[in-house]
Amino acid sequence: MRIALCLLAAAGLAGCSMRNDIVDSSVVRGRQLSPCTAEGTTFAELELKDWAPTYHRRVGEVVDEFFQQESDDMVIDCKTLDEGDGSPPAPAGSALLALARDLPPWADAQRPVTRLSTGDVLRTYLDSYLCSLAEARLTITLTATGESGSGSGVVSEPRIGEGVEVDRGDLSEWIETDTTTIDRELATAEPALERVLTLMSADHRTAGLKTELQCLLRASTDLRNALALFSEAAACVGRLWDAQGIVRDFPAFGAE
Amino acid sequence: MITRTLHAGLLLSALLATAPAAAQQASVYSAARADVLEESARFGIAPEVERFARAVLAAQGVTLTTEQVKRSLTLPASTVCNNRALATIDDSEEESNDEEAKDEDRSECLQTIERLQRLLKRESSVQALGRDLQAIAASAELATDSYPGMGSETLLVTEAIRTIWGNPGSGSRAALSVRTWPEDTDFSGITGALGGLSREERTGAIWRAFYGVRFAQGERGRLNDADTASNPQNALGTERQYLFKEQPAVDAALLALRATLLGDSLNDEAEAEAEPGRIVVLYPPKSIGGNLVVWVSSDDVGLREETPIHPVLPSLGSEGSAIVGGTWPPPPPGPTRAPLSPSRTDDSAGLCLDPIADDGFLCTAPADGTSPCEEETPNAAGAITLAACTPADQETEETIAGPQICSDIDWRGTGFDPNEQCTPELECAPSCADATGEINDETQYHVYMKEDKDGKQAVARACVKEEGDLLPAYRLIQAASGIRLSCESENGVDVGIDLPPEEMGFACCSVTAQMATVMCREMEEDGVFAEEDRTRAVSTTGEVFGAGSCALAFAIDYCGPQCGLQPEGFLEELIERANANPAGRPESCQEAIGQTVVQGLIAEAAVIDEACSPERETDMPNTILANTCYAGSCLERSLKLHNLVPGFGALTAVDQTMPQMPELQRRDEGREVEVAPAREPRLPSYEPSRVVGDFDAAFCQLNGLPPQTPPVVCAVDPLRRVTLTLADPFSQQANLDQQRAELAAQQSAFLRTGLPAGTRIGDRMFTEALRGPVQGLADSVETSTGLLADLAAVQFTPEMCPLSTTQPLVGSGVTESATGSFLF
Repeated sequence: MRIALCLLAAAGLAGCSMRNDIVDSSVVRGRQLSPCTAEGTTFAELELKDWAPTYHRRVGEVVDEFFQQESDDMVIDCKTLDEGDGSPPAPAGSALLALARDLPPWADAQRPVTRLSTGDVLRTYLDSYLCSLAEARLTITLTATGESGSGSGVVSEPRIGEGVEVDRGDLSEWIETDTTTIDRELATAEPALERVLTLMSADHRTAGLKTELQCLLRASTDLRNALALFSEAAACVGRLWDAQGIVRDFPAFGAE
Repeated sequence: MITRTLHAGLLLSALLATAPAAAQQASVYSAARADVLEESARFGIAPEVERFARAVLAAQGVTLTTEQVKRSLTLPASTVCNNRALATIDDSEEESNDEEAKDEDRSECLQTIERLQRLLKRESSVQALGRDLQAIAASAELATDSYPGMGSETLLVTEAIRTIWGNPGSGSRAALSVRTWPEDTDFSGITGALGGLSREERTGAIWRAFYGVRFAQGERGRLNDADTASNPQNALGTERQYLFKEQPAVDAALLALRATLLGDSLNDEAEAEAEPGRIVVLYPPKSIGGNLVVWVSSDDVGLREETPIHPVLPSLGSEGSAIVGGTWPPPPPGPTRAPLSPSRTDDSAGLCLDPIADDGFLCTAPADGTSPCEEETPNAAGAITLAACTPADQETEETIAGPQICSDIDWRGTGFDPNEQCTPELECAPSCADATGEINDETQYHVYMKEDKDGKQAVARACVKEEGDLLPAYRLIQAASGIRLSCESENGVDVGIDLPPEEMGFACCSVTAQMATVMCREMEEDGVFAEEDRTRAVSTTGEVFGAGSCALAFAIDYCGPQCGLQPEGFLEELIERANANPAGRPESCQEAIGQTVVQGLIAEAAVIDEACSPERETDMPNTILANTCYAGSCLERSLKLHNLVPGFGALTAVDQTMPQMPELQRRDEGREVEVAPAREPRLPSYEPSRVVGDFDAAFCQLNGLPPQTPPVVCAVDPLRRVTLTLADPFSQQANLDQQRAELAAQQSAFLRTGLPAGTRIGDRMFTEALRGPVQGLADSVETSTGLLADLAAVQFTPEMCPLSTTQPLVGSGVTESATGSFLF
C-alpha cells in the first residue's frame, strides 16, 4: 500500500511544477492587493531615511534564508503528498514568516506561508515599497516644508518645526537628497528583486520534481526489495511449474 | 582604479580568511542589487565601464577624471560644464580668455558629456543584459545540475534511482563514492589567490575552473582549441581576455587542496580514468564563503559560484586602452544528433567528464550508433522546435536477441558484449569439417564450437552431410539439438562437446544422449517406433523401440559401451525404420533445414540463458533490473523445460487458470498488463513570434488600441490630433510627444512585466519537457507494483493441487483460498 501511495504521487509528477508558479494566482487577480499607499504598511512607521535600509535588509534576509534552506529541513511524507493543494511540504523560514505577517495578504495568518510563497511575499513587499516611494515622491515638497502633516504617513516628522527658520538652500538640499534616494529606489528596487527572483524561480519550478523524486526513490527501493524476494522465490519456480514432475505425478498427499 | 580594486580584493580575502564560515556567506540579494545600481548608469557605474568610457574619450582627445564621469551620471550636462574642467588636447596648447571661445568650449563640453552619458548607458545595459541572461540560464540549470551543497541534490537522487533500477547503459560508467569534507579543511589558499585578482579576472578564474582545473589545463579530456588562453581570440586585449586566462596561483591552490584530500589515491589516476567501472571519489561542492563552492574529485578539482550570478562579461579595457570589441566566440556546434563527448571539441566537452553527466543522454551514443529519434516538425505557425526526440518507430523496438531484453543487457553487472553471445550456425554440405577444420566424413554430422574471425564470438556450428546413413531431416534435429547444448554450455558448464569421445569420458554419453533424445522424440511422434497396427515395434533381437532406447543406441554408437549395452544390430534396424520416413519428412537436407523443430532449437540456442539452472550460482547486483531478469530467466527456463498441463496456464497474471472447473470460484484479481509506451524526452516548441505577438497586442490594448504593426504606433493616437488646429505644427508635435508621455508610466510598468512573463513561459516549457519521460517511469513503477501487490495477495494452499477435473479436490478442509490458489 505504501508503494502504491508513493507511486500515485510519482504519477502525479507531471502537474507538479506547473502548480508552483512564482506568483500565486489570487494575488495576481488583485483580490487581496492593498491600496497603493504607504498607509497601513510597515513604511508608515518609519522615517524616509530608514525605508531603503529596512527594505533591503529584510529582502536580503529572506533571500539568504531561501538559498540556505537545506532539503534536509523538509521532511517529506509521500503518503500525504497528493492531499491538500499538492504543494510539497516546505516550511517557511523565520525571516519569511515575519515579513509575510507584516503584509496584508498574510497578516491575518489565514493564508499559509510556505517556502514556495517566497516569491509572492517579496513581490507584495516590493509593491508596498514602491507605492510608498511613489507617494513620497509626489508629496515630498509639502512634507518637507511641513505644509502637509504626517497624516499621509509618508514621512513621520516634517523636517521643519513651527517657528524654526530654515535656510532655503538647506531645504532644497534635503528635498534633493530625498528625491534622489526615492528615484534610485524606484529605478533599481524592482530590477534587483527581479533578478534574484529569476534565480529563485528554479527552485519553485522544480520543488515538486525534487520532492517527488524523493518519493520515487523510496518507491523504487520498496519495489527493489519486493523483487529481490520474488527472484529468490523464482529460483524454485522450475519445480513449481513442473506439472508432470515428481511433485505432481504422485497422487495428492492426504487423499484418502 | 585597478589599485583600488586590488586593495579591496586583498581586504576581502583577509576578511574571508579570518571570518567564521557563517559570516562569510555573501548575500545574493545585495550582490544583485549592487550590480543593478551599477547597471543603472545613473546611481552608480561599473568601474570597468567607467574606465572604458574615459579611454574612449581619451582616444578622441578628451581627458576625463573618474570624478567627472561620476558627476556626469547624476548632474545635467549643463551643470557639469558650468565649471568647465574637461581637459582637451587643445588646452595644453593655448589658454584663451576670449568669451567666444568659452561659449564654443561649453558647447563642446555639452556634446562630450552627452556622448559620455550615452556611452555609459549603452555599455551598462550590455552588462545588465549579460547578467540577466546569466540569471535566466542559472535558473534553468541550477535545480537539475546540482550536487549536495548547492541547494539541491537532484543529481545524486536521480543517480540513486538509476542505481536501484539497475543501469543497462554502456557498462563503462564510473561509480561515485561521495565523501564528507574534513571539518578542518583549509580554504584560505584558494580565497587568498582569488583575492589577489581584479574583479573581472576573479570571475574569469572561477568560470575557468568550472569543469575542473586539470580540464582547463588540458590534462584531461580534450580542450576546445577556442577555450585556451593561447588562442588569439582569447588574447590579452580582446573582450575574451579573462575567459580562459591562466591563473597559476588559483590553479596551484586548488590542486594543493586536492592533493591534501586525496593523498595517496592520486597515484595511477591516468590509468584509473580510462578504466571501465572505476570508482570516482567525490567531495561534493562545499561553500567556502563569498558565494563560492569548491569541489574535489579523484579526477579534478573545481570552483563554482554557489548562486551563479556573475558571468564573464565582455572585457572593456586592457592596460588603459579601451577594447572596442569585434572578437566573436566560435560558433556553437549547431543542431546535431551526435552525442557530446569528451572528444568533442565544443563548449560541452567538460560536461561529459562529469562522472554522472557522462552517462546522460547528452553524452551517450545510442547503442547501435543511430539515433532513435525523428525530428519533430513545428506544430504551430511561427513555432521553433529547439530540439525534439520522437521515437522513430516504437513498433520495431526490439533487442538484437529478440524480445527478451534481459539477454541483451548487462543485468549481471559483469559487462555485456554482444560479441560474446553464442551464435548458432547450421548448414547442409556435401562434406563436413570437424572441430579441427579437416574434412571428416566418418560421421554424417559434426557439432563443435569455434570462434569467429575476430576471435571473440562463440559460434556453435553444426554441419550435416547431404548424403548419409540416416535421413538428413533427423540428423538436422540431432545437430540443432547439439547446437543448443553447445550454447548452453557456453553460458554454463563446458561439456567438452569439441573433445573426442575418449576424452569426454562419461559426459560423452550424457551429451550424446541429450542430443539424440530430441531427435528420437520426433521419431516417436512420426511413428517410426510404431507398427502399422499402432502397437509399439520391437526389434528382431527383442529390444523395444522407443525414444529412450533410441537415444541410448546413438550414445553407444558414438561413445562406446560405457553408456550401456544393447543387442547388436539395434541401431541399424532403428535407422532403417527412420529412413522409411513414415511421416513424409523432406528427403533432402536443404529442404529439411527449415523444419520448425530445427529452427526452434536454433532460435532457442541464440538466446539461451541458464542463470536458473539447478545448482548454478548467479552473481548479480541487487537492482530491480537484475532481480526481474533473474526471475524472468527462471520462468522462461521452467516454461521451456517443463511440461505444463494443458488448460492450466492463466491468460493473465494471477488469473483463474481453469475457468471450466466448476469447483473453482471466480477470482477477480486478474490483471491485464499493459506496458507503458516508451517516452522520449522532448522539448516543447519555442514560439517567440507568438509570444511577442501576444505581448504587442497586450501593449496596444493597454493604450485602448487594436493590435498594430509596429506596436510602437500604439503609443501615439493620431486621431487625438483633430482636437488641435492644423495651423499649429509645433503644437501638433508637442501633442504627439505629450501623448507618449501620458502613457509612459503604464508602458514602463507593462514592459517590466516582460521578464516575469518570460519566466512563466519558460516554466511552462520546462514542465512540458519533464512530463513525458517522468510519466513513463511512473507508469512502469505503477504497473510493476500492481503486479507485485497482486502476487502478495495470493494465498498458497498447503494442499496438493488436483491434476484434472476428474480428480476430486483433496482434503476435507477445502477453503476458498485453497480453491482459488495457483494451479499449474
